[in-house]
Parts: sequence; structure tokens; C-alpha cells
Amino acid sequence: MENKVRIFDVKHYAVHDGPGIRTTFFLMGCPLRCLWCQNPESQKDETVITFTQMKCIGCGKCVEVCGKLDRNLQLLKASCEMCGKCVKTCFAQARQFGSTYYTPEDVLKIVKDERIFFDSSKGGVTFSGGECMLHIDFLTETVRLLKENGIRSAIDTCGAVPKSSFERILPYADLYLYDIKKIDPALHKEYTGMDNTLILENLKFLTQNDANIIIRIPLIPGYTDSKEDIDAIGRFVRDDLNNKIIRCELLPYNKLAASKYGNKTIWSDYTLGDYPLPEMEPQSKEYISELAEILKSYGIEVFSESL
Amino acid sequence: MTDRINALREMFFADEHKKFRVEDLHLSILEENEKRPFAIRKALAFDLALEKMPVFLLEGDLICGGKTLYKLPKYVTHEEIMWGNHNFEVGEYGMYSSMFDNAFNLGQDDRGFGLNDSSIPAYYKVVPMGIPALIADVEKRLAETDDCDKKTYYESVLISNKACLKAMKRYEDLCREQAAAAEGERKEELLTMAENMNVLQNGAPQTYWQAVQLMYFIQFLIWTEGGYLVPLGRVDITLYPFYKKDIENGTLTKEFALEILEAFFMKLNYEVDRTHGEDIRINSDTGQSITIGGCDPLTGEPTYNDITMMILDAKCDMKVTDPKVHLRVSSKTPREIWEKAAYLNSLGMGFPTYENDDVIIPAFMAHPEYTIEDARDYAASGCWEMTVQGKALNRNVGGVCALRSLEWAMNNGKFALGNPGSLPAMGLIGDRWGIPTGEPEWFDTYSKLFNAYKVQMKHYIDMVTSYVNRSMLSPSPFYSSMMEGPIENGRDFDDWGAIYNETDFQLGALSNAADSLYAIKKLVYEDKEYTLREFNDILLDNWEGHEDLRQRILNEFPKFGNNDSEVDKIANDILEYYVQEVTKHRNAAGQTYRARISSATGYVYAARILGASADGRKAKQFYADNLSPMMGADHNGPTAVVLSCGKLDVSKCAGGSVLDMKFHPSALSTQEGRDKFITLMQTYCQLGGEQAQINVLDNKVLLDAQKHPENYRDLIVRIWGFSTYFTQVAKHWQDHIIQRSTLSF
Repeated sequence: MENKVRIFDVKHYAVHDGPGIRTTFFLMGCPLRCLWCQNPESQKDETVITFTQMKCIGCGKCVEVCGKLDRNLQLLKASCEMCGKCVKTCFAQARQFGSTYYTPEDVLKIVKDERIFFDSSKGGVTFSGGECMLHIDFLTETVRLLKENGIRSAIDTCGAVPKSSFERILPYADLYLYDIKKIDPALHKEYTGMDNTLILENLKFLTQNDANIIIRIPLIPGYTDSKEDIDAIGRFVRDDLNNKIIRCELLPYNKLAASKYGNKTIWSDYTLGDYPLPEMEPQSKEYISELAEILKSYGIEVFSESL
Repeated sequence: MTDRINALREMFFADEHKKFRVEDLHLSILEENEKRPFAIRKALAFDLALEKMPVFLLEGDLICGGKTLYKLPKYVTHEEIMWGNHNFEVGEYGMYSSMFDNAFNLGQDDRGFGLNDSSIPAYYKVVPMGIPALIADVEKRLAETDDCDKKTYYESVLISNKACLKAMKRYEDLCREQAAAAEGERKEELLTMAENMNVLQNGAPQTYWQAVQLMYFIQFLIWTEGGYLVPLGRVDITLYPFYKKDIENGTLTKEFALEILEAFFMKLNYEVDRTHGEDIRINSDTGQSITIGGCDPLTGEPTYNDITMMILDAKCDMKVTDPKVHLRVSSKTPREIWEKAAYLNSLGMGFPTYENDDVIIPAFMAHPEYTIEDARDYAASGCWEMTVQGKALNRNVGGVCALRSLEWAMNNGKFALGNPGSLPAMGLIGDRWGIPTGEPEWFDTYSKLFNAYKVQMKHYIDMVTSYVNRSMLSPSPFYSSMMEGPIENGRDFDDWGAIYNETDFQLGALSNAADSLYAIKKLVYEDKEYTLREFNDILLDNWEGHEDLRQRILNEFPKFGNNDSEVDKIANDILEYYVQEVTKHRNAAGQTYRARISSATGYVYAARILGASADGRKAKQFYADNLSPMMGADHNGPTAVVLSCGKLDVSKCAGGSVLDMKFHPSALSTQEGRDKFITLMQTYCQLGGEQAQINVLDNKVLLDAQKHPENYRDLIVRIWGFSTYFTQVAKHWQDHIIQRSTLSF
């Protein structure tokens, strides 16, 4: 079987996904269902066809080739076989596949020329998602191939995958951007659909094997950003991980996530539900620096864009 | 920023300086002097202007001067005006496109002779020397020469420079007058300023303050004489000896040195609303560039000093457009300078522009005229073009549009949109400006089409260069006397007295032409979906009925700027041919033409008379600016843009080639972000990039500024070659900036 995965976005000159200049690949599929998910379109690992009203020039070619589209160009999901004829005929790119298949070689081809930037800035490739670790066959092979070609890789993960996956990637990956959302297992389950035992165990496993780890904490107002939350994470890092991490990053709340939800113009064939959280404001600079102080009191290095 | 500078800045935004302006005092020197040579009459007019112009000081000013009189007294005779400059008529076509599509003068005297611009005064020589010493030198030369033309020139220089001394006296008196009415510290300050003006009338500047004062005094007098786009050169090197001496003997503090510098910078801003050319006047296109960093002309070792850093600090503080700062970098540039510069970039005003010594100096040396010492002493002229400071007359008078050549190649030499006007002086007949290279059917292979393209481009370059070579300049006794060359040679600018006489030739729409040629190659010659005739007809119809094809080309075809080897190669093919042809030509002074990649204003104005192009661009729409990929065509971020541009061989473009890059503010808001940015810039330099200018913009802010300009009076953005106040430029420029920044990384 060909080793390929669905990738829904490639971001060049990604400056927020690890050290140096990086190119980030976003893979489809995620085991968690966080209430605040920023890439809801990537939760399910399946092919979707998206339709962007703004780009449509009204040529009607998709209606011609498909036969199942109604006058409003809406497609009944049940009857769509994802044949992609409509995508192929839509030069205006109003109809697009939500993702594209990539093999490890494709990835290498894209980033090969960028090595000059990676080398001089100590950057590399980041795999994100969705949850890239779900595709461990692809990921191991790709990261190994990149390493062979002198390119470092970072794994941006939520950690909710079997320990065996981490065992496989361990020899090849250079850095883990590891999310900790909440220490309390019950609330973790309530907010993300899964309890965090496996996540924290995997993190311990990585530190025991001397992996390079940056812990990232998404600060969702009222959900994960209380001082107690941060204090619990600090204690966990000190007591269970012996502070064997590079640093913690505090990610302030990003209001833009909400705009992807319920957006029928983009996701007409695959409408996402409404954003489950109320409208909220990002944390103030002062509050973030208070949270940073808590972590620092445990001897942890802290970084935040808004500091 | 001190309270004083802040107050001066507020007064600037409140237009206080404009209250002293008089447009035209309706003076004349013609009556008694009609029979005297033109240059003498111009010098006398300058003398009278300086005698009558209003002099003023704002509360808290530390530096004297400022242009107040906008028209020189009448000195051109009726006969001369009638005789005119027939080689430089500007027809209807010229109104919109002369800036780009052919030859142009940015400013003209009453006869239509070009005024001088873009040449950097030899401040490094004149400031340490002082005006009285310059006068003595010229007097000696006048006494020694028998050459009648030289005598005339020297006399005109003497009249102009003595006028300068008289203007200094007027300012000395003004300072003393105001000092009499002032009290305390301000009184002391005004007396020192009077003393400064007194010292400068009698000799060379002794202090840092006097040196800065002299530099500004010369600067505003050049503007008063009629110069415009007046760059300042390597100010950090010029001022440093004065600064060092004063700091060492304890008469100057670093803080006050910065305040004097900022007061000087504030003054430079007075002309931002009075730039060249009525119909294309754009706020802040003043050409007042300062170049910092770089290397020592003799040794080639990196040079930077306290003033280099101070200039960067002042620009971070002040948030005004002038002066524009250019940083010369190389593989040897210290980290500290990069970091300060990146911080300045993060503030979003488009400063500094980067100039890469490692490419530019060899590019100068690719021309036969330059010595290595002079090449190492280059600095930015009007926008970001490079010229040897103090020694070169720099002219930007013509260019070709890479898309126009293609339009002609596909239409047997004709305009797609019909003849936009005629210029009889160029010997052009009917609607054919190109030469007949054949009907589309003749080109059965891509290389035949490309050959026709080259022929059109060659024809275009021949036509414009010959036209430029017949254009004439106006003498500028004061401006030229501030240079090296004219005094030694006894000849003004118009008589090619400067050591170097550079004529730069520009190429626009390079990326559009590459994208278009690729699309034609693919559709017509590889996939054979259309014949060239059919495809050209679609373009002539402006894509009418073929929107799907247009979308397909826009969205699916590879474009320059995405590290696609095939398109990048086409771009380089065009560039190589262009450089080869341009550098073959010599200008009226005998120096080789210099090639440059620049759109100047062409991407808006020349584009208005340009038909649809095969890259998906509709007729009359903008094309890409400078070296940049077409707006919206750079899908793969700045790294791919840098890789694509790195493949272009600009090593012989001594005129410069600038890449416009744009970033979202969040990309540079942290130290880490700026480190990444520095690496990107260093890699661009390492790959052979020549110059880069940086916009750091948030699209939402721009849209809001369009709606509520009153809240954004100091929002500064960079357009094709300079920084300007966003709310002060015409809507079509604003729209273009917004269109670009929507796709910011």
C-alpha cells in the first residue's frame, strides 16, 4: 500500500511552530474533540469538498459534470461520491478538496530547497494537524527521510496516541511541541472528550528518553487559564518530569477560531456546528505574565508571544 | 523622544511650517541681465530669492532653515521659452506613462530642460570644508582660467554660494532678534544658534551642531534652487568626526546629539507635500535618503559608529517619513546592527531598506567606469537606486515595461489598446510603436516568439535611450557646486561636469512577463489548446467570455515567486537579455547605461494603457511592482519568493533591483520572530539578492485608516520606493497597498 496521508494545509515561513524558520504540514484526523478546536475541519480524517461562494464565477461547469448539484450549487452529502469531477472543472477554485494526499517523497520535494533557511536559522519541518501522530507509518517514514537529508523535524502533538507510536518516532524526531490542556482528568475528559492519563504517561515516557520537549498550554478563558490550572501544570512538570523540558509556551486565546464554525459559505458540503464556546476576549498581557510567574516559580522557562 | 522634539513633531502635523510659505513673489532679474548667460541669470535669481524669502524659526527649533519660496524670480527669457526643449515634449500619452513607458523628466525649468535630482551632494567634502573655503577655491580657479565657459560657471557658483552666506546672515539676525525677546535656556540656545550661523559664514563648522546645521542649510537651499529628490548620502560617516571630537572634549552629551539629529530630521520633513511633478505628486516622494553602515571606501572593512545607531534610534522614535533610511549590509555586518534594524522594521514604516554590499559593489565594477574605492562609496539616491555619493550625477529618465514588449511581439508591433497618443519627436507613426516582427502565425515555436520578444525589447530600449540622449538638462550652479567634479572640471551638471554621469534604465513587470510567457508556452506550444492567434484574440477581448481560462491560469499555472524552476528561468532569460542590451548603450556623457529592475509608478500609470496579459491580468490593471511576484501569485511564502529571486542574475544591475516583502506584524513582534526575519534577509543576501524593502502591515488597520483617516495621521507605509503617509496618498495607491497586504505572510 502506498504510504500517503491527507494534508489540509502547508504553511511556509511558519514562525510560531518551533525554533527557526519552519514549514508546517497539517495532517487530517484527531482523537480529541476539544471544545475550542482551532482547526475543526481537520478533526475527521476524510475527504471533503469545500465550496467558497466568494470565489465562484458562476460558470456552471460543476453542475454540468456532476448532475447531483441543485441550482444553489449545494450538494447533498449523502449522494456525493467524492469523485472530484467538480473540483477538477472549477478553475476559479471555489470547489476544492479539503485536503490533498502527500507521500513522504512529496514532503521532501517541497522542503528540499528550503534547507538553506532551515540550516541558517536552526529551523526545519513541523508536523501538526489534526494529530499527526495518528499517521505513525507515514510520519516515521517521512521524518526518517528528512533526517537522512539533513532536515530536522518537530512533532506538534496532543499526545493522545498509543505509547508504541512514540517509541517508533523517538529515534528520528528532533523536537516535540507537546500540548498540556489540563491536569484534572475529569475536566480534561469533559472538555476534550478524552481523559489525560495516556497523554501525561506519554509525556513522561518522552522525558525519560531525553527527548527535546516544548510544552504548549492553550489558554482558554474559564476552561484552562486559571492560576490553579497553571500551578498544577507547573507542579507536574517539576515533580513528574523533573523539569526535563526546554520551556513552556503560554498560548493566549485566539478569537479567530470561532469564525470557522457554522460558516456555510466555506463548508457547505460539510457544515460544522456552531462554536460551542461563548464569545471571549484574549487574556491581558498582565494576566499572562502572572501565569508565567507561577511557572517560573517551579524553575520552568516560560515563553509567550504576548509577553 | 524629548518634549522639544515631540512639540516640533506636533507643529509639523499641525502645518505650522506652511504658514511661512510664499509661493511666488513675482520677482524678476531679467530686466538688467537679459543679455547675460543662462547660468548667471539662474544664479542671480537664486541670489534674489534668498534675499527675499521669508525666514522663520519655530518654537524650540535647534536648526535654522526651511524652504519658503517656491518659485525662483523670473530669469528665463521669452525667446528661450519659445525655443523650448523640443526633444522632450510630453504628449497625451506621456501624461500617464511618461514616468515609465518612455523617457521623462521629473521636473523641468520653464524651457522644459530637466532639473537635477537624485544626485547626492558631497557632504563628506563640503561640510568639513565650509562654504567660505569653497568660495576661496572657486575664486582661485576663476582667476587662473582663460576658458570662457569655465569662467561663466565659476561666476555662477560664486554668486550662488555668496547668496548662501547672505542667507546665513539673515538667519543669524533672526536668532539674535528672537534671543533678545527670549529668556533663560531658550535665550542661550538662540544665541548659540546665532553663533553657529556666524561661524558658518566665516569658516568651517567647529562643532557637531554646526556640522548638522550646515548640512541642512545646504539641503534646503538645493531645494530652493529647484532641486528635488535630494538624497543625503552616508551621513553617519560624515558627521562622526564632529560628534567624536565634541564627545571627547565634553562639550556634547549623547542625548543632546540625538536631539540635534532629530531636530534636523524634523526639518527634512517640511518638503514632503511638495514633491516633483504635478500630475503624479505623491506625498513624501522627496528622495531624502540617508545611507548608513556599509564599508570603508579604501579598505572595504565594515563601518558603523554611534551615529549609525543613533539614526536608527531616531527613526524608531519619530514616526515621520523623512529621511528614508537605507542600511548597507554584507556578510560582515555585525549582529547588533541587524537586530536594531529588524526592530525598526517591526514598527512598520518601511525603514530601513536593505542594500547588499556583496552584490552591489561588484555590480558597479561590472561597468568600465568605476574605481573600486568609488564603488564602495555608493549610497541610495532618490528611492533605493544606488549612486556614488558626491561624485555622480544620477538620472532616472526612462524605462521599458516587459509586458509592453510582449504585447508588441504578439501584435506585430502594435498597441493592444490602440495608440495612446503620439510623440512626433520620436518619429512614431500611426498605432505602431513597436517594429513589425510578424503576425502570430509566424511563430510556430516558442523560441521564435521569444526572439520576436527580444527584438521588440531591443527596439524599445534603442528608442528610449536615443530619446533620453537628446534630452537636455538645466544648469544648477548651487547644487553642482556641492558635488565633486563640476568645480574641478569647471562644468555644471548640464555640461557633464560630474565625475560620473549615470543614466539608469528601468525594467518593469518582469514577473508578469515571465508568468505570461510561461502561460503561452504551455497553452500554445506544449498542450496546443489554442493557437497563438486565438489566444491573442482572447487577450485583445480582455478575456471576455473566457473567465474560466483566466481563472485556470491565475490559480493553476505556476508563477514567478514560488520557486518554480521553469518560470524562474524565463524571468532570468528576460532579465539577462535586458541587461545585455541596456548596458550596451552609452548616454550623452559617454557613460554606459545602467540596468535596473524597477516599476517606479509604472505599475499603476503605465498599466493603464496596457492590454490584458497572458498571466491572467486584465487590461489596465496594476502589474507587479519592482522585482516582486505579481500580487496574489506568491502562494508559498517569503522563503519561496527569496529562492525565486535568488535565481535571477542581478549581478550586473548596478541601477539596483529591489524586492518588496510584506509581513504581518505578528511575524516580527517578538525577538524570536525578528531573529527568523534576520535569517531570511541574510539568506536573501547570501543567494545574491541586491536590495529589499519591507512592509509590516496589518490589513485591518489599513482598511480602518481608509475609513477614518483622522485617526491615522502618522500611519506610514512603503510604496514603490519610499515611505509615505498612508492617508495622504490617492485612493488607487491605497487600494494597491491593501491588495498586496491581504496576502501578507
